[in-house]
Amino acid sequence: MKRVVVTGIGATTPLAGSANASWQALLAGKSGISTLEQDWVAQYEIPVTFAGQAKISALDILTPQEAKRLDPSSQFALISAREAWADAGEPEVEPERLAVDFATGIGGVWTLLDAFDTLKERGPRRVLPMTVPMLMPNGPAAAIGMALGARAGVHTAVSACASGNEAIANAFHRIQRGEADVVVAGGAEAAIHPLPISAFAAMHALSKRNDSPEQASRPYDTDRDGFVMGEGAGALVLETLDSATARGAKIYCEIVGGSVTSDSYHITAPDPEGAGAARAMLQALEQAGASIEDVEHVNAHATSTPVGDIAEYTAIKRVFGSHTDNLLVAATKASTGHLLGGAGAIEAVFTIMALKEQLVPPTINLDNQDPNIPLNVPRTSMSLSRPDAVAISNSFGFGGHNAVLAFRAV
Amino acid sequence: MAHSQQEVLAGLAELVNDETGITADAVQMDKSFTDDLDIDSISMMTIVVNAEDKFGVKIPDEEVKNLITVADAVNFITENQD
Amino acid sequence: MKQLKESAPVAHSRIYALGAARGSNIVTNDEIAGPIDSSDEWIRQRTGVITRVRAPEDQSLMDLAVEASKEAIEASGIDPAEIGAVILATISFPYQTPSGASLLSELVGAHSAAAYDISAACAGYCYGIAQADAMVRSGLAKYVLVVGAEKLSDFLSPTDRTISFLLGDGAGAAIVGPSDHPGIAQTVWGADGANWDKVGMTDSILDFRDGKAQWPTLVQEGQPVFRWAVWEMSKVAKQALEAAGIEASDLSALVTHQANMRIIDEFVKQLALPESVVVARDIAETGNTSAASIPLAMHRLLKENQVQPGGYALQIGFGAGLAFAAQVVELP
Repeated sequence: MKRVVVTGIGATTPLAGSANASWQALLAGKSGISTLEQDWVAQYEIPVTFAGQAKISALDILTPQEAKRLDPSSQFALISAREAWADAGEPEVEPERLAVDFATGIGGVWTLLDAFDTLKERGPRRVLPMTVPMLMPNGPAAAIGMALGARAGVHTAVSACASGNEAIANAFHRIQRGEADVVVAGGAEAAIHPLPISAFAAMHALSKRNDSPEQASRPYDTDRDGFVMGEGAGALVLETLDSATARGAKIYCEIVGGSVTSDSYHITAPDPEGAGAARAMLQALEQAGASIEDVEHVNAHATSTPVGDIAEYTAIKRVFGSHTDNLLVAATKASTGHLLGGAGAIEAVFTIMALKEQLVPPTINLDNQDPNIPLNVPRTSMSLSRPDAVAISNSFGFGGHNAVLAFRAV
Repeated sequence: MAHSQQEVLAGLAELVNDETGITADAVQMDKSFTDDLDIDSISMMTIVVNAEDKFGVKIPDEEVKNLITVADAVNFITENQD
Repeated sequence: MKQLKESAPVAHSRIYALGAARGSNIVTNDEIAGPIDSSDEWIRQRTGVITRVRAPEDQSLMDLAVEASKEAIEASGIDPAEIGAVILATISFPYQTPSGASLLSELVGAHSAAAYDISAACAGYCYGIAQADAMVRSGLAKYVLVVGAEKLSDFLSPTDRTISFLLGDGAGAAIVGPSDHPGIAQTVWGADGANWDKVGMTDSILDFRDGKAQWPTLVQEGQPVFRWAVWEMSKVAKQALEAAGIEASDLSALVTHQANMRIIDEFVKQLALPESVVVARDIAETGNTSAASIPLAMHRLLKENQVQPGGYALQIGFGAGLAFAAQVVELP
């Protein structure tokens, strides 16, 4: 089976407009969460008035013409993919050997809802012709595919908060199977809009810490009260080790596992026994040919919900047993919020940087760690000890989707 | 309020520029939308919707295929605006 | 049958005064980086050490201990003859017997004192304070001289990359005595013998005697020790706060064993220490002086007026054993 490596990374997040700047901001303990200033917050009396908005507006990067034809989720996707592609040195690859696996949780929700408003207010003739291409969930992937000339297949994984990881896992296996030599993989989301916010709030899933947004996303803390929505995108360039070495590409790390399982338990709640999540982690390690002791770092899903954080701990403990004490866990959603379809992708970027720099990023807002979650979560950046350390990144989504990626430092 | 042909041309050029990035002065009366200006069908449809809004005209779907050059569009709009 | 008489307890104890003595040579990172194939930048970034103090040949461990003890005794205003016990915490006194404490007690005029050394590595001083507190409150001793003194440079290898480059020589002393209010809270202490082999000496002196090994020097398994210090010791620190009945926000200072600046940074975060709490970072200039590191660091905070007498300090020592001890004390 072919070995697959990461040769480029890109991201636009609530922390910064690039992968590296986001990583630096993460290391520096910054928060990307802020109060929403839009008129619709007051207009609709939205109960949650803060979120993780992209630090750099997509409109500052794309030309007006490009931006007009893309839903914000696709705008973020395209920006992050172009960054990753440039970072990888714009690999010369035949279009028939280049594929795209780019996820989103809900795709063009802004376009969809704006177009409905237009229909209601001004009639069907005012609905713009680009509406369908812009709202379709394969929009982000298609935009990237067209920009880079990918002809080996453009795919969109959709599994709620597990989407980003699932897309990357698919890309990994695609290359292993020999369907493509290079795949641009990742995920994007732009759903900071009154409806999704109200809908998540209606399920009591969101933190209501309106008066202190930067402290609201607090995975593992005893006072956590729900997740914080974030927007943005993350992208990776994955290619065969052979292709990367042949062209002298910079190699960040190797991707060694990508596993997807399902809970079949409840449409939103995770299985409290963590069986499905545990299986996903174990399978990823099996694919990696790694033992549990090889794992030094876990970028946890850890969304800051009372129930979710504990369920993930239970799963981790099932898998790692006493080795759990040797894991260095990062809950980066504390800094970025939850990017939904984009979460797995930006967290993959952070996991890859952790392996490259041999440094686990700090987790902020952890003032009082829940005693029922006795994981080792550094509050300052902490060195990894093995040059061949394995790190895993977890993402679990509504619908019972479990997707785990495994990377190995080179 | 009725626009002169010049105004319609200028307005149309603005819409084309907005949608496609083509500079306003490239939008000349004798230019063909598809052959000279390289505007694809979906951009054309968007320009039509925006033109209806901007000039207060109705451009029926059957008519759009007759608007081959910029002049065709400008003339139609100038003649049919209210 | 006649009842036995026990020592007469006293309600409270406190630290009266501190004394300090550092090796008179200041050694920079550049001077020691060569043999360990490192650099000033790496050492600063990874450990926070900029310089370490080392005692020259003519400055012995006992010299350092005496200097620190005399300062503490004088500052406390007590008559050394009234010292009931002298406890010397050290791992670098070069005689199996007699104890360093017995010589020290003679040299400082503590002629009536019981004297013994304790070997608890970097937890030694806090172990000593725990014992002194118990002795004073049980009435076993009126005053106790607790000294942490080390000449680690006698036991290190210039080519060892695991610990030697951090180490320094020095002594810190405290006089503990009776008090009209609590000045030393309950100690939380222990030892994790399962990890006996994580930090210590390269060989025993028997191996050296028999020609099987070179001169034994200090060595550690950096990563497991670092992780233990960060995760387990922050729990102990929290327990010590609980045992003292106070919160982190009630502290004036945090004085940890000066092992590594990164451990200190993580501690500060794990304890969610408010900005108002002064954190001792003497390691930057002094290096890691094992049993001496806590009293030296506390003495410096007071001398530089970074904290005021009367405030509370959480001191926590941890090291080879793996031994640990923590208690909240009132700053002298």
